[in-house]
Amino acid sequence: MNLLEQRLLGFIDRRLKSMLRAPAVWGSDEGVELQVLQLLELRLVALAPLPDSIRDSRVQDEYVRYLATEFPGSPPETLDALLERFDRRAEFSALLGRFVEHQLQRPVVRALDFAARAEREDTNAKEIRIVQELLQRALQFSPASEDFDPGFGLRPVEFPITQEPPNA
Amino acid sequence: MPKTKGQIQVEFLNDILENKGLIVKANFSNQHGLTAKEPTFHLTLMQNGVRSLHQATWSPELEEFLLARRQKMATLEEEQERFATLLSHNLATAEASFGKDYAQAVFVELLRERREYKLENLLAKVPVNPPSHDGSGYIPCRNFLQHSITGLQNTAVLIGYRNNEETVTLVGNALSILLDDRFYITLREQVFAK
Repeated sequence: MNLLEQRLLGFIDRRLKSMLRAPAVWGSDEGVELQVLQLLELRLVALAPLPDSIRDSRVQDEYVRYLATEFPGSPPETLDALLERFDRRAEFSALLGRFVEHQLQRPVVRALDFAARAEREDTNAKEIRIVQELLQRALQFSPASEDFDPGFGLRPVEFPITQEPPNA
Repeated sequence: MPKTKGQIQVEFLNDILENKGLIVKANFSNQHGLTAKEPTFHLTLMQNGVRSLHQATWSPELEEFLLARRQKMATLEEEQERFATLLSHNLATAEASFGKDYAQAVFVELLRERREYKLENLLAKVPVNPPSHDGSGYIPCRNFLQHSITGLQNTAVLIGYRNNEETVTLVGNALSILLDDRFYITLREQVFAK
């Protein structure tokens, strides 16, 4: 995990904990709900290598399904509105917290790892090309060894005990 | 057909051994990078009470001769270099048969699977794409390279190394040397020091 990723995820985790522990400090229930959802979306952007069209709505889609499970038959509204409707305001932290926990436990593949790996492979390939070029130029100035045989075209070494026959 | 250098080397040593000679000690030297020279066996021979040093550049025939005689090198480090040279030669024959890029891709794919050698850090510096599994060359190339690695590990036990972590480390270090050489890893770290 690189430094930016660590700092970002650390910040998101701390902020989520704080908001769920004392939501009133962070604003109205509706305001806290929207902030929590945005933080979860940001976390997914950092962690999951999904196409934008899928990733950008993933948290929202799952939240809508979650609320439909908790409030079957209700219209698609915010948690704040639903709790107000059913006089269950006291359950705000618990219900929002359960959704957050589910999101945090879902296994994700880290998108940053894919990007970093592709960049690293490009760098590796470029460096090798440059070194090969340098070596070729350096070898022009050094006497070639007459004895050394790089092995091309020769038969491979056979081992005294073989378990599988070679096919080359 | 004229004899190869390796065949002549083996004939010479057979002659010594058939006439009450002995290989008292075997050393191996190799240099890498910009000052690379040919890998060389340094064999201390004893015949009629007289010791002599016989130096012979590495060849597959000489290697097979020494392996058949269960000849270990004097130090673990030299053994690693010797094994690396052997593996490098076999990889080179695969490169000649199947194409350099393809053989290297199959080789790297194999090493990624062989986690016991703990080569992840080096493999991260190797820019090789996964090989195609569809061509007719994939199976024979893979089998050959797999055999080279497994055969070498078995041979290490045969010539006297314990069949445990010691052998795995020995072969793993030889593979590290090979990867470093093939993909200029140390050289790149020096040239592109960050």
